[in-house]
Amino acid sequence: MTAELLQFAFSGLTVGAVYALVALGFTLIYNASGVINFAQGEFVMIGGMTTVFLAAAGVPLPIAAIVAIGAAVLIGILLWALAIEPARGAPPIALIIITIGASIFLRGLAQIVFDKQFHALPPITGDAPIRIGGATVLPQTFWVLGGGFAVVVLLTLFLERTLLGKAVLATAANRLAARLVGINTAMVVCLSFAVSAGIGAFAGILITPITLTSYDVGTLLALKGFAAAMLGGIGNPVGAVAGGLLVGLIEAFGAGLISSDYKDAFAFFVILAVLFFMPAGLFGRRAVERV
Amino acid sequence: MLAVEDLVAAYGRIEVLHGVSLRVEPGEIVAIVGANGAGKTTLMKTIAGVHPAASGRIRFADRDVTRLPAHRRVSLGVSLVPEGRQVFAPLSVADNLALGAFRAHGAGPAAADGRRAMEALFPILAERRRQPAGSLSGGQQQMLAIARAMMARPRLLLLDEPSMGLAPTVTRDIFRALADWHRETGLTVLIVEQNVAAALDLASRCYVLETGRVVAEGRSEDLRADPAIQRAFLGV
Repeated sequence: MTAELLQFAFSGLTVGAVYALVALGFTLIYNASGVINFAQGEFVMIGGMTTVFLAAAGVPLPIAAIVAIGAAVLIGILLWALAIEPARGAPPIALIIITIGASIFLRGLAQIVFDKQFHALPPITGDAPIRIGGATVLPQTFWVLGGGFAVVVLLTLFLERTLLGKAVLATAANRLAARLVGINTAMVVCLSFAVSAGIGAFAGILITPITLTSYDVGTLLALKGFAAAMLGGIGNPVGAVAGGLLVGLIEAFGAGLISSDYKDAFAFFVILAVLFFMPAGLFGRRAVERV
Repeated sequence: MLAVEDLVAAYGRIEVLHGVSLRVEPGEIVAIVGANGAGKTTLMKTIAGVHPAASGRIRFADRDVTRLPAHRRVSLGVSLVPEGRQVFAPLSVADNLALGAFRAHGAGPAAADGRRAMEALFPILAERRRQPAGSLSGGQQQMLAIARAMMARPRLLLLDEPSMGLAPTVTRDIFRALADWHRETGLTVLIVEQNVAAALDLASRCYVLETGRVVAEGRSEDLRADPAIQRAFLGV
């Protein structure tokens, strides 16, 4: 029984790490612009699918992965430049609907550019399972967890140690004041789309050897990442990571202990529960403001 | 240094400024006084570039800046201390100051000099360096907002209601610091203030704004002696 629980925990943390990265993408863009970017899941798909197709064309895997992340970043910037920036000043709900449209468009485009099949990538360090306390763990799991951890550390260093990162935080805290100190807030929003796209694509590449990818994996990932961001408290990066891991664990334990038929439903129970019982999420806004 | 010509600004279809003209010469402190809703804040925001001008012109240092985005105006030397202070609440006092020098790349030696000068002007900011700005008192936040704007080394400092919500003693400290700084550096200042007596003390010239129009202007001592001004603003 304990071996089984450990098994659930590992698989929960693995998918949870991906939800956490998607949620982090939501958080970055939300903080910079107030927009919930529902095309966030498509970045994950673009990362996985581009790597698959480049690798199939004979490009070495590391290069394929880098090009795929670059492609996602470019698409993130184009999404901002062609869809978000022209609608500047529109109410957030209109911008959110634009991102839903962009998500449908990108999915359609992926069907044409790639195909409608499921694809896998070879794991980075083989697929001989490692036994830990009776549970079997794929080596790729550690790449996913380690990669997710590295992203969180790098992003934290960027936001808290560099002036540009602080400008992103400043824009999130007070857009008017950010403009008044000379921050080009439109560029900060562009940057947040680029970074979120890069993070999403990176997650997509790491997880593809375990969960496979196809043109339409983005939809569910976006919804689960959104559930994670809501659970953590929208706009809070620590909450996004915690929320992601929690949604992953809830899903894995729910599927293992209750029924795997409901695997995808648990994330939506989480959304409903958060909305009903604690709309601010686990790490809701810190209240240190004095006026 | 600053010349505003026939400036019109609106919120949607509601026009708030109906052709405002004013000038600020280098080294001057000029005040704008007027009742609530006269358009003072809109005027300041339009000069800073965070509110669009519907028509008219804003010239700064012999350059037409009417259509220039806000961040470019900061580079040219226009800094606004906005109404309500607007500090970056979750960020530390030190980070707020560093971001004030964003256009000058916040961390360089010039920025360090600037920070030292501001901490000398407002010593409390040195004491509270590591604290989140949102945890400061109103007066301290106002000092931080002024210091943050000065970190950009402006040639023209715009101040919108620096006394708002502050105790009279705190207001006096802040006005004294501004007067000292002006005496030492000759910084050009345009200030909007409800506390008309304090504004007239600080400024050498003054414009009276009423429902989006300049209705009077002159030297501070002349306005102080004007019976209409006394009745309307000074409670004499």
